[in-house]
Amino acid sequence: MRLRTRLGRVGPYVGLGVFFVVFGVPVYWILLSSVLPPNEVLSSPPTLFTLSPTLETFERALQQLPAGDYLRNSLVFALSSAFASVILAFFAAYTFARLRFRGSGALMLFLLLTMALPQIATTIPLFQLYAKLGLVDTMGGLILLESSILIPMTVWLMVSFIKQIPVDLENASFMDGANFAQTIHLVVLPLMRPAFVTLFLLNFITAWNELFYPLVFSSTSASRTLTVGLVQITQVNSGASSRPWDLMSALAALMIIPIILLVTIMQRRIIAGLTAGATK
Amino acid sequence: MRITATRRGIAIGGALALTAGTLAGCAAGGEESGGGVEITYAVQAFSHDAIRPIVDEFTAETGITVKLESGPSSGADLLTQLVPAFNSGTSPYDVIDADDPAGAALVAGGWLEPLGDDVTGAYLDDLSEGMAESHELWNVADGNTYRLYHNYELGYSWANEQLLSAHGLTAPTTWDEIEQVGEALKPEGIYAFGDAASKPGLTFVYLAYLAAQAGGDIYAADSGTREAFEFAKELIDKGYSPKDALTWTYDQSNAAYMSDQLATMRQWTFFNDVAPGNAEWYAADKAVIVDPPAGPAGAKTWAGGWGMAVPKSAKNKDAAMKFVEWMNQPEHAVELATASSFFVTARTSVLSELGDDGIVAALKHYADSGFIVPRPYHPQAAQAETIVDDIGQSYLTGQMDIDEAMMQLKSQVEALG
Amino acid sequence: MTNSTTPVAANASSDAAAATAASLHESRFSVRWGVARVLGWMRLPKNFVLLGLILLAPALILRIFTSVYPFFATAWTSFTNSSAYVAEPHFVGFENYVAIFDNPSSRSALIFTITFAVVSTALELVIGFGLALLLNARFRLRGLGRALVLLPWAIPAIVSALGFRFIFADGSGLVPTFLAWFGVDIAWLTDPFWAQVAVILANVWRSVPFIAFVVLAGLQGVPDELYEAARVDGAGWWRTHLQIVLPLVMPVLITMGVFMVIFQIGTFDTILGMTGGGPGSATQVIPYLAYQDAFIGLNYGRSSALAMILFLIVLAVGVIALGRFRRAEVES
Repeated sequence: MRLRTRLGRVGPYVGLGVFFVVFGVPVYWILLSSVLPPNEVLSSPPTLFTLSPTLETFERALQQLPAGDYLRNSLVFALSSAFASVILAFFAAYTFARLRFRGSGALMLFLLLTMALPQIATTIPLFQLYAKLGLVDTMGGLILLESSILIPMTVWLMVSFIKQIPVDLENASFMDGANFAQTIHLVVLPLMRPAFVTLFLLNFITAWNELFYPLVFSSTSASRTLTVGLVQITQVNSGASSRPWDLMSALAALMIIPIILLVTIMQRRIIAGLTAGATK
Repeated sequence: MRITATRRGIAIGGALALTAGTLAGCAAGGEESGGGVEITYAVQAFSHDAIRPIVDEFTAETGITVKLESGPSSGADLLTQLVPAFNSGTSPYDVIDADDPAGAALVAGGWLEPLGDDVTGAYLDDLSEGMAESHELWNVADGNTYRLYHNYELGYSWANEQLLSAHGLTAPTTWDEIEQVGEALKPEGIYAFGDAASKPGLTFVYLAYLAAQAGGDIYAADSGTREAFEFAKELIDKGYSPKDALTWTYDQSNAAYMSDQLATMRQWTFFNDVAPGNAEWYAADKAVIVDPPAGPAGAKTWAGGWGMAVPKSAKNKDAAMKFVEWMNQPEHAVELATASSFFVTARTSVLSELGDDGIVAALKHYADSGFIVPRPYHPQAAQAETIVDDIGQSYLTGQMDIDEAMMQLKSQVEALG
Repeated sequence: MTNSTTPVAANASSDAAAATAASLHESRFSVRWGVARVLGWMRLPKNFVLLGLILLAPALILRIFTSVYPFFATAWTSFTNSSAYVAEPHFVGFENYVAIFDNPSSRSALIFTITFAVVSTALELVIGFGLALLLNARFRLRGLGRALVLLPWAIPAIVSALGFRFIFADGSGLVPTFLAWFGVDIAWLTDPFWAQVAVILANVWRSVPFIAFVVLAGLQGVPDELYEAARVDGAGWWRTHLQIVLPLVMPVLITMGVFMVIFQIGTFDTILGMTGGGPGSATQVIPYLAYQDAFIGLNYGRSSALAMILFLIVLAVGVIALGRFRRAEVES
């Protein structure tokens, strides 16, 4: 029995230890690759540790690739998409949560169902449409698409957040003679601030990680994001050269360092957002 | 913001050109179309700095300014980007740069302007034999020329002669010798030959290389193709070539070669810069370009490249033509080849001026020896190459036998129409 | 179950009064003030339907523009021979669909797409449940630990896919090197079966944290008294968790399962980055195949047909899941 209790106490630590190793090592390895000297990156057996980290690959990445442009595009893309989707979703969600009218439930269902549509099932006509409108390879066009795809999930989570605010507060505000706009402004928005932060973070991460839309819709460094830059490196084949994994790892590190910081600092908010939808 | 500015730039350029064109009528010679005309040339960004000074010479001579835009780094990108524009009768660029599959697709779609004899004359007279064959196959349709190569890439055979001679061996010159070397090096954990052959694209590159040596027409799935497939499988099964290479990108084959795991490899030109860059490992006799191994059809390797073309819907066609003509004058081709490896071709002028040393010497040797054959042609090459990728890998990893593979290859390529 | 979101709600209500007061003194020229002002000018508070529609309009129009219209256009294109090489596409009936089912590579892609989604989901639910139990325990540096667990979910799929391509590579990869210590020699990415296992494992690695945190939220809703009661009854750790806790979080697991299957049928980044669909077509999936058909092969008709097949699979999963749900709801 005593052995068992001790096991019970140690067990979780062992289990968690295994998970931490399994989850941590690949991330560590990607980061490590970015600071290894180029010739050590694909060595066999793999290099697991270095005492002489170098920023050489970052320098080369910045020289040989428009990495600065990619980074700027990724930031603009992710920030704008997150911002636009949260704002638009708030108005929709408020309607679904508070101003329910005949048919609003159906509209919400419709919005959620569009989420199940695979991206590829809409891409060809969108591309043709974009080509006609001159939106291919523009940041604006990409942001429009990403905001759109983020909206259904954001609305869904936002509705559950709004419903947590006691409706009495709004009623009281109306009774005090405030109009609709004042109520939103003075009562709802201040209460929703934490929810906004959460959803903004989630959407920022999703957009930052988005590959498909930029891959299809951007063709030059005017709108190419880091994710596409990464794929480009691997897929330059039969032509002039193939660029190596050390450059890829530099771009990869550039992508995941901000994410690691965000996740470490804001994990509470992110987890709150992740779990809000599924557990109602 | 930048894109808006660019668009406007193009629009203004286009308007000016239209005005100039209208005023000058059909007799748009040098002077008429000069002065204020700007054309855009979309070419991969990494070459811009190198070619800029030479392009400026063109501007100095003709008064036509050339804006270098960063072109797509793959043919597939080029097509996805440009086909919608071409379909709606516009083109963002006056001169484009296309690889073979994209070039063929653009020709098939009827989106390129034929290049007149005045444009192509100097170029055609300057082609070496193998390159002329490629040009004929990929750039000419119905007697019209649509594209001119400024880049001509081929797979070289690299041999680690230090490693080989340490085991009392020399670089294999035939398929049989690859097997003999493979057998000798197997106990040492060294592969006789390796080539990165992952999807997408690289499997095709490798199998087309062997098919060339076997004299096969890969899209016909003929007996030569069958031999090439079977040889590739044999190398893997007998342990003379790493199976894992089916997942490699080129940097992985380079890494394997530079850690002395491969005695020889097929690789593109760029390894010539990569090898000396690895100072710890490099020695002159570790990365020697040797003749390609001879299969049943002899020592062969295929070549393809990027070339300049003028879209039918380009706004400044006259100036664009002038630019293409100028860039392809032998003396300018040599200047460009000196400035950037992306502009090295097997043109007689380039080979004779620069063929004494470096990679161009190897190119000259390959060209003079008749090793070079064109990239296998298909009007829908991008799709056809994907089919070779899929079926080749399925066969090499034991998911189908050779009969099935040949049958599938033939029928799927035929289904493309 | 509201437990999961109480951090947000609690912060919210404690801030409420202060925030309301503070915002009265806030600058008149803030964005919020502007938005509210515009709505005020519209004088719409009495007509809720109209107001609702106005508020919904931007989101709905954007969705219709980017998903509904293109979806129907895709459906139509799938019945035509549309391609970059065809100047005037015309109706060809089910030709594209027949071609897809005739082609062994696309047939196997179809099967693997489903296998990939289902096997991944099953593994994710089991491992995610286990991880949630562990995370529910109190341990030191819990915050840091959770952030670490969250990482695989948060980093871009294309980054982890490319990483795993090298982690599974023969010779230089971590996994083969590690397994070699135990005498296990697997050619991960060149053997069709193990390549499938590898991409599924990489995908599971990515998705487990999400499941774990959702289940964890569910676990935190299980009242302490239940554990207490189980202990009094003499139930061991396993019995407590399998017979009491598991049924309680089962609804969450089922919801997540359906969601993950649907979501992972659309998988793209992982395959593109890790194998490109190889070896051969062993790990090829419909979304990547449709992408290649459209943007490399420029065969829009066939690509659209693939996309429609994908959609039909998603639809089927949805309908089956809804049916099950209904029954489960009725039974409970």
